[in-house]
Amino acid sequence: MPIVVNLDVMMAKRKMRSKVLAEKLGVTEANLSILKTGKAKAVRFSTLENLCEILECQPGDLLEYQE
Amino acid sequence: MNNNLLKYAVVLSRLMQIGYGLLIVLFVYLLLKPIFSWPLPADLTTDGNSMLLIVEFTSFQEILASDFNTIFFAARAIILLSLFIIGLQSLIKIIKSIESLSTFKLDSIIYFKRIGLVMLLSFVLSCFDLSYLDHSLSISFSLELQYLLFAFIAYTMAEVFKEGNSLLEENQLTI
Repeated sequence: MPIVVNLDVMMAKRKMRSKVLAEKLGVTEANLSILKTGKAKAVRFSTLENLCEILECQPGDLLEYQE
Repeated sequence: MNNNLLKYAVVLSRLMQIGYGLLIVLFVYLLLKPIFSWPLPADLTTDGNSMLLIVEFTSFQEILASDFNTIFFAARAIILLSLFIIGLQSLIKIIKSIESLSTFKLDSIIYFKRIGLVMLLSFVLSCFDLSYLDHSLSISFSLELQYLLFAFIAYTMAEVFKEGNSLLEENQLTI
């Protein structure tokens, strides 16, 4: 898929661990792992909104289009 | 899921499997009878007592006239009944998966395809009819379209469940 999720990069910048982010986001660590590894088929706007709020970033910082 | 209809369907399927199993035993007996020359039970030699055999074979005495006919009919019936038992087993597994709320798992697709294959094989098997009468072998051909219809329905359901499975996966992978 040409859409790349840069969640791990953003988490490293904010020095946030998966467990903490999963707790704040209200998802399981397994689901967060699916999102981080790019296996997810879709992301809800509500999840994206929460991610941006927690990591203090823009959706463009998390998602990238690569040809 | 607490659905009485599904429970009845499972019970009915199990009863049909038992019935088919008993019929297989009967046909195995018929198949082995010419080899071992076992005596027939009393109710098989008389016409009036066994309703089941009268329904299955209208000219039962004629069929028993030669060993070839007995072996052919018994072997074909054993294969057909075995196929029905396999098909019913797949149906039971599909119903159980619906009861356990795992309807659109990959297994259901495989079971529907298996039912389709079973029905196609039953259609092919029931097309030809060989009989040896008066020192001549006659082949008759008949189309049992109901098996073909069931096969088409089963394959269509397999495709529907495939679509359901992809939707389920998409739903599970939406974060």
